[in-house]
Formats: sequence, C-alpha cells, structure tokens
Amino acid sequence: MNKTVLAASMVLAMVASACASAPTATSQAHAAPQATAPGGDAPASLTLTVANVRAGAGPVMIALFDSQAGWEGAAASVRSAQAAADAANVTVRFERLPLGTYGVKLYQDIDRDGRMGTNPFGIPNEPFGFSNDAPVRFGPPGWDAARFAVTAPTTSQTITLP
Amino acid sequence: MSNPLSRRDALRATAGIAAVAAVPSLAFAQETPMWRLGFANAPAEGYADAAMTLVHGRPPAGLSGRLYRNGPAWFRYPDGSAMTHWFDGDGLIRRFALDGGHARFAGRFVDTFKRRTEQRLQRAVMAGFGTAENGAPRLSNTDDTNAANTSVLPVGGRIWALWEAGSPFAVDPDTLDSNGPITLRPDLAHMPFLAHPKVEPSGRIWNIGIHGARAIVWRLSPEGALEDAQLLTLPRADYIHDWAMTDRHLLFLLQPWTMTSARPPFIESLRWDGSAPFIVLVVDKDDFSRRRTFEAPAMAFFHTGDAFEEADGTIRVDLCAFANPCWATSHARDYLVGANPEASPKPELIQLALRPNGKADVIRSGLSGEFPQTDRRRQGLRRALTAIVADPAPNRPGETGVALMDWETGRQDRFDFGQDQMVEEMLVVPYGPGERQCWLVGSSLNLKARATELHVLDAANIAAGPVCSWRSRYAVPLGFHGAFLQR
Repeated sequence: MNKTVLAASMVLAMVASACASAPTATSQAHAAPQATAPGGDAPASLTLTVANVRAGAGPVMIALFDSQAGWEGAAASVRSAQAAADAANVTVRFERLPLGTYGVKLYQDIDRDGRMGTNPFGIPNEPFGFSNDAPVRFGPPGWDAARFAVTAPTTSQTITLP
Repeated sequence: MSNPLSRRDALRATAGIAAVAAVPSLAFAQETPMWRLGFANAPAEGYADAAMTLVHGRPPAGLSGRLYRNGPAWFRYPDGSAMTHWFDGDGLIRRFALDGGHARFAGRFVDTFKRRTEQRLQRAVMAGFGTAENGAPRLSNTDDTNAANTSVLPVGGRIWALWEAGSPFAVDPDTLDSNGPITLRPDLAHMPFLAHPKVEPSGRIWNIGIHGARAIVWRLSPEGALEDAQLLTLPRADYIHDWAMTDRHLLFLLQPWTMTSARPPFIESLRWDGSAPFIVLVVDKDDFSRRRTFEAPAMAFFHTGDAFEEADGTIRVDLCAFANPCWATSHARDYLVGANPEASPKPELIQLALRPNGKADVIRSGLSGEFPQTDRRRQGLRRALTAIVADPAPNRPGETGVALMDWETGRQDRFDFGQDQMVEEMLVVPYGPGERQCWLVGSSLNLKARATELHVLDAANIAAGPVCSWRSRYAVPLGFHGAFLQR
C-alpha cells in the first residue's frame, strides 16, 4: 500500500540525469588513453566488469569520476566509455589512469536512445549501477560509498546490474 | 493449522506459566489476545490446497467459482526486525474454490523482490508505507519495494496481484505461481497502478496511479492490453488509495492529507489539515481537459463504493469516511505490535451527491464500517445498494458484521456474526438480474475456532445470516480485497 517509493523516485530521477549526461558525451568503444599520470607516478589501469547485462540490448554507458565534486555533478567525468552488450558480462579497461580515487556510474542503454530512460514520473526504467555496487536507497549513493582506490599496476571493479 | 510456530510458542508459554503456578491462566489470554492471529505471519510456504468443512447451512445450487483475495501475511523475522505497519506485510494470494457445494482453500505468497530479499536475509530491510528502510540492498525503482499485497484483478486468464505505487504482479490462477511484475508498455515500467481498478460493464478496465499531484490514467482492454495511458495534474498532492468512475466521468477524491516531503516512511510525510476542504475532481472520460471540482467538508477515507450519474447530472459516489486519518497513522501500526488501541475510529458509510449547481451534499447512512462493495455488473451505473463490513468491535481491531444499505429507500439490512468473528470484505456475487438477487460472499477469521471461514449470505435476506459457511483448517491473517470469478 505504499507510495513510499514516490520519495525514492524523485531522487532517482537525479541518478538518471547524473548517469545519463556524462557517458553520452562520448561514444568511445573503449576509454582512450589520456594524460599521463601527474607527478611522475606510473599510470595504472582499471578493469571494470559489468555483470548481469541484458545481452543483445543496447550498450552499457559508463562514466568515471575522480572527485566528489565530479560525482555530485559539479565537474565533468574524467573518462567515459561505451561497451557493447555482447554477453551477460562485459569488461572495459581504462588505461593509463593517474593513481587516485575514483567512482563509476553506469547504465545500460537498453533502447539505444543515448539517454537513461525514465518513466513519466521520473523513475528509471533502464538498469543502472555504481562502483562498489553501492546500494541505491531512495537516491544515488554518495561519493564515500562509491569511491575506490586505483593503485598500480591494475585495479579491478565489478558492478552488477539489477 | 496455519501458525504452527506461534501455536507451539503459545503452548510453551502457557506451560511456563503453569510451572510458575502463580499466574492465573486468564493472564495469558489477556497478554496474547486472540485477535493477533489476524496479524500473524502465515507459513512461509503458504497454505496447501485443502478442503474446507461445511459447518453451517446448505450451499446454494449454482454458486461456483473462485474467490481470490490478497492481503499482507508476513510481518516479522526471528531477529526481531519487522514491518511496522499493517500495510507493509508481504502479499499472500488466498483462493477459495467453490464447486458443486464444496469449498477448498489454498494460499501462496507473491514472489516479489522485497519478499525474496527479506526471506534470503531473514530480516525486514525494505521501506514501506509505514516502515523505515533498514539496510535494503537496493531500492532502485518502485517495484523493488512492491509488496503486491492489496487486491487482485482477474484479467486475461491470469490474476494480477495489485499494490498501489508500482506494477501489478502476474499470478497463475491455478498454481498461484508468481510471474513477475507486469510492464504494460516499456516506457511506463514501474508506474503506479492502484489496487482499485474499475471495470466497465463492457469489460474495459480503467485505473489510475498517483505520484504526488500527478496522476496517470490507465485504460486497458478486457484482456488486459494497454489501450491508452494519459497524464494529468491534480489540485493537491493528497494520499489516494481508491477512486471512482461513472459511465462518463473519472472521480478523483482528494482528502486533505497531503504529502509534504519525499522521505520514507511515506506515512511520516503526510500532513492532515482538517480545515482544508475535501475536493472531488471530476474529469470527462473522453476529454481530460474537461474538468470540474466540488468541495465538501474535510474527511479522510480509503475506499469508495461506486459512482453513477442521474438524469439531472447529479453524480453520486459512496465512501467510508473517517473524521481524520488516525486509523492509518496509529491504529494500523499498533495492530502489528499487539497493542489494542482504545476507541477505534468508526468510519461511516456516506454518499456524496455532486449537484449540477456545483454543490456537494453529504448523505449519511449512520452505518459504521469499511470495505464498501457493489454489484460489479453495474460499475458506473445507477444502483441502490452498497454492502459494507459493519460494526467495528468495541474491544479489538476489526468488524463483526455485515450491512447492506439501500440508498433509494433508506432500508438497512444487517447481520452480526458476533464478537468471535473478524469479518473480511464481502463481495457481491449475482444470481439473478435484480439488484437484490445477489449473494454476499466473504471470509472471516473465527477467533474461537482459530480458523478462517467462508460465508455466503443472500442479499434478499441479510438478517437471516449466512446461507452456508465453510471452515478452513487454517487461521489465515486478515486480508484486504478480492475478486470473485464466477463459473
């Protein structure tokens, strides 16, 4: 008998827009090499596995952030990627990342319209997820719940779509 | 029996009391009132299909079909975590099958994400109408917390288990297996679909869903295919559980119980303003831009009977009106912790007459009760009768009787099942073309027998009591709403 989720949906609409805006900015098949690590650190790589992908539907759209400001929408994502939904598990590798702390937002663009779908009341209707599989509870997880460290030489992260 | 654990616990508890020997046995009866059976956990696996025993009268020839009912039936986990509002329990589909004078009963939980998650964790974690989120692994859309626990809609050879803030769940009418949430159109996934759809005599199904001051109006074919979905804006962001429809108009009934924030538990965000009017928004079914509003004194309600229009344009709609929403904000919570709220509010069956001159008259029946029902063959059409579950018990939750109101003559027919019975919704099942040629079919929880019963009354003679009654071998928690599928 609940309209509880009315509350949820309003905040989730923000997830949708946050997640939708960044990845759609580019359409790289893989994250392209970017700047070398500052300060002379050896650059690291991040291997991101997305599980429970609806194989055969539209691609997984991924945005990588390196700061709380970016996570909260005050800055752009540092990398973005788009991965074809060839299988239930999809892997994307981000190369030559500066060592640091990162967070990932992603969704599967089931209908290939280039944006995260929501129903007319703003409730997402395409699968989405966050690094650390940080739980969505009436809104997107905060930076503290989603951030993880990238250390040389390789770091792995798995995000399971609902 | 339905609650082997609680029965065993009860026996153990009484044994302990006997050992102490100083406490009169009455003390246990007072500490564990029998009415708590109505708000207990059902067995996790549900209830195996089993014959009911005829305990009274003779089953009427020609009455056969399936009564499907829904209602919350799981509230607590062994670690002490619990849903803290009656409305938040997991939906259990109850099926009473009537064939050739025999009755059978079966029950299965709807397999929702909420239930699957909590059963796996053995912990109540999901948020609800009156339950706070407590470590939910995921709340990513409305259907993650969908309890599928409020009503049923037989459609297209299946049963839809209805909630109100998310999708219907498909249930197999024979096996009671769940087949997941129903998406009527991909872009409308997870949209709210109230537990009180209205079915035109043609079979066409209408329903609404509410999101603050925004509404979606669903129109479905008799087979359950989406014909149309339109959005409209309401005058206020009030709590809406039920609505009404005539053959020409949709009626949005807005009680001054308004959402003020977006944080769960949802009930915490609702504010009652007894100085604000009750608003009825009347919308033309063929042109949503054609709208009228009526105002009546503040009242709270959950359920409407039905609505129809008269030749002069007067629209009549009945509902069970409370003075305020305290039943939902406190009593329906207290039931779960076993508290026995004093002075239960007594909703009154009333009729609103919305006049062509813009005035709204309140016509009182003087009957106290809930779960108004009408002959569904006449949905939206003129009729005189409304049945309710009547007479709130003075010393515990629930009602003890049934009443039939004739709005045209003022005649009232009543039957009281007695203090041992918690009476559930009584559905109108026609056996002839006349309005009184109907059976009332509904269940009760017999507290003395510790068993759920099914009763059939004749609308032509309610005062005579049940034509027949069957008793199940289970004491099933109280449910909300159902539908009767005649054969």
